[in-house]
Amino acid sequence: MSMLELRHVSKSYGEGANEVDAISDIDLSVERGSLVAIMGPSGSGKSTLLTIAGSLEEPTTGEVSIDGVRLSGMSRNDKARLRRRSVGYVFQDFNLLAGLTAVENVSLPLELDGTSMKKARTKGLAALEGLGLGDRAENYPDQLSGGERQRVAIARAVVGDRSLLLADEPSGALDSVNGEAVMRMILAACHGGVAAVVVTHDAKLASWADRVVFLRDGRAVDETLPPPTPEELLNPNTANPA
Amino acid sequence: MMDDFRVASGRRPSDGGLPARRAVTRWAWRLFRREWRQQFLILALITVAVAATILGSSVAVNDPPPKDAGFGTAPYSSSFTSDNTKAQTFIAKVQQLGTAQVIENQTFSIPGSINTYQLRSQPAPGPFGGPMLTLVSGHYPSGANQVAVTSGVESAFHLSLGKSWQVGGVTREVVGIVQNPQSLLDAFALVVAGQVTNPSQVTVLFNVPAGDIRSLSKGASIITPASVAASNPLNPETISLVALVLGMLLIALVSIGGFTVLAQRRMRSIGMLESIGATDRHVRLVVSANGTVVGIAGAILGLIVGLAGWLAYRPSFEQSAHHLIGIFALPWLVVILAMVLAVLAAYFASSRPARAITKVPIVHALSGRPAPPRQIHRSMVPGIVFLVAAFLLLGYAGGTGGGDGNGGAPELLLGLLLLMPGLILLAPFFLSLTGRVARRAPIAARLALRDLARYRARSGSALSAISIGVLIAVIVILASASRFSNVLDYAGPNLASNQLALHTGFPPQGGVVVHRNGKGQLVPVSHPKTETASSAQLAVGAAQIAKGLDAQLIALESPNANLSGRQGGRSWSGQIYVATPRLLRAFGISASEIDPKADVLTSRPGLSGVSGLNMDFSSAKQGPGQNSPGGGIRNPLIQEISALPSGTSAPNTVITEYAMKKFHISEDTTD
Repeated sequence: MSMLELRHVSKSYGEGANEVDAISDIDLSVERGSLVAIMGPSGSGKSTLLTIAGSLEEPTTGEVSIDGVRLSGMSRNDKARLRRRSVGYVFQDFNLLAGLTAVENVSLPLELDGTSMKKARTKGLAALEGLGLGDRAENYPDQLSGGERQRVAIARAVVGDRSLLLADEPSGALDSVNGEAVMRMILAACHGGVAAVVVTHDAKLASWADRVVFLRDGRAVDETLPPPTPEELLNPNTANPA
Repeated sequence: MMDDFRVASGRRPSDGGLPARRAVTRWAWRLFRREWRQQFLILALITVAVAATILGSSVAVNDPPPKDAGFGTAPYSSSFTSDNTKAQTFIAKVQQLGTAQVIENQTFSIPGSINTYQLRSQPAPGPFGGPMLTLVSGHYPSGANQVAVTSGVESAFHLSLGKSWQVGGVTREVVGIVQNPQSLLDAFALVVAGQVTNPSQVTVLFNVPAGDIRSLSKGASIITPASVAASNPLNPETISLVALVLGMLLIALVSIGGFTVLAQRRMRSIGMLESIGATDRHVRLVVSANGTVVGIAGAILGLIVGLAGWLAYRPSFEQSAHHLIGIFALPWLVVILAMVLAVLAAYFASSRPARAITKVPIVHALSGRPAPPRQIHRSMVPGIVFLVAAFLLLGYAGGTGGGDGNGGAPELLLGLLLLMPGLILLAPFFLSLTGRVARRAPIAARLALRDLARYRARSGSALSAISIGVLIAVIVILASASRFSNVLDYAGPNLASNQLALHTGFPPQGGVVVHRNGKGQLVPVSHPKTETASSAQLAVGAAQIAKGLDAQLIALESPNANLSGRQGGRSWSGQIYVATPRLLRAFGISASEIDPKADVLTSRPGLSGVSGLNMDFSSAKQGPGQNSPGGGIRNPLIQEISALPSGTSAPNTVITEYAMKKFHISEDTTD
């Protein structure tokens, strides 16, 4: 079963003559443990696709399912609950909450879900230590470097039992070294069973993905698949059509 | 699968329960600490309101004498002024039934002054008199040749501890300085029991079983603290609370705009919170928790500032209130309510933007762009209905009680209450009008007015607050104008410092004016001792004083007549004097200025236009000293002459000699 499934998803803004199609008839399926990169020029609908996939926005038409749960018809509170339990976001500009320390930022989704402060903190600390930030846990976001902030954001996105990681230009505000480090962490999360969708402009970072989807003017125009394994090559039924 | 998700999620509260609320509140608190400067206006408003309420209500409540003043801790008191035998009988009865404390006073004059002091015998502290007597320095008198005095007596007689002083016919040593904490004006010299030989007043403080009061009350007037307390429902605490509620309403309205701006400034952070799974309830809690924190901080700061102000002002306030006031003698109910209302006002002010911000789409919030203003088409009808109902009620209230303003209090109150929601509901429509007015305005004004019209959520509440503030000011102005524009409710100026009035009896029997510079007004000075002197003696005494002061003397004569009338809810029964040639000459009024048919001359503006005035008088037609019941005339002819003095106590209204003769009015001549 796909962790994320989009079926004929379209999104339009405005009305009448001012109506603009941000994405049109997109189909996308992301399995557990796989990393999908989405590339495309500015205005191609990449971020819109991600916000719809993460239930931050509703599609005009089409159906979105996360872990088999259809989002259409869910209440705002149910969607919020789904986000804090199953979906992790990583934004280009980190989006950490000022006023909360790194560990408080990481443990916040757990606390919002009813986990006690002590338990949430323990899990948050573990997530930070896993990303090499154990010693920066008590620092506020404005006391961290850009790379550290993004690592905190990744820790927040994967803490708990999240199964879907959505990253919008996670390396956009970082240098190449930190950018690669971030991608490595996302890949590590995928190896742990998390399904990840990463929007990026950087072809080099996109090459880390199992699959790359190209968007242009709101439509998926191309899709690269990972090279077939020797077993697949030997079996004509499962051979990659590409 | 949808069902599976819901079943699986049912193990924990859907909104995260207490841990979630605690986490969100913690974040709100941290944001307040980081960004309190942005909320300074609201914080300052609440602080000032709470501090002003605490200080104002404390002053208002403590200004009158204590409720138990004159009682000490006794539940009953009875005083006897003349019949000492009766007092002794009463005391004996009380002592059989319960406990009594006797305080004897003998009044003496302070030489060279109109003031008096008491020679007082009062056990110190006695069973009940503790709150009425404290020792400032030295010790209480323990023998017949000892006395303790108050600071007033000490300074009047230039006394000090250890000095000898002859009082009550006995030379005594001053051994202590005492005071009556419940009345700092109480000037007395304290001696031991039995030293007040000829008491002018005997006060008995006592406590007996309630059933025995009836038997004691025969032939004696027994009072209790409750019987002498004011029964006015509009006590200072009530007035403080009404002012507090109104003030907090205005602050809440102003704060709505402040919290709306703050919520919009935090839009991006709130979007982040929503993106990681915060529900609408969590988002509302962030904003309203912030409001509550501001309210709590303002209430605590207000309490600190108010208490500090009270502690600083209390010593001088004690001097002006003339009684000692405890450090913590505060109206605690008002203080607590002020703090609670401050928190509630801030909470409710933040609730509206808290609800509004949950309507913003998460993607918009994350982008940090303010959501475009929504076009809301609300009907003006509810606002107009409130307004019309308010005006009808106010009109009805004004028309009740014969239009004299004495009736219709419930209608008046309800009308004012309805006026407020009416203004609040109509405020946004008037804001939208500003957008239309802006068309022809210069660019800077146009932008400002258009912004006001577009973002009514921010400006509507502030406009309502301003409107209600102006409404309150207008009501105060109209009430004051109505009160003070009434001709019969006259309040003239006081006398100048170089003017003096000597009354030979209690007004309005007549007086003698001592006038230093030949112009001006009068000031009354009562002199009880003159009651026993004859008019001729008084006139001689007054002439001597005038001569001693190198002043001009004007004698006033009071007729056996007075003016009375009623207008606009005010009635007046005023003192008038006789317009003797001497008086008119003193104020530079010649006979030619006077209408020969005028009955009354006055400097009071508008009095000549008042209809329905009555002049009642006693006629002297039957001969001197045999005044007939007399009569009265309606609408006497009144002439306004500005040369007459305008002071309230001065002869601002005089009856002409023409009227005196016409109606055969007798005179009370004091000169």
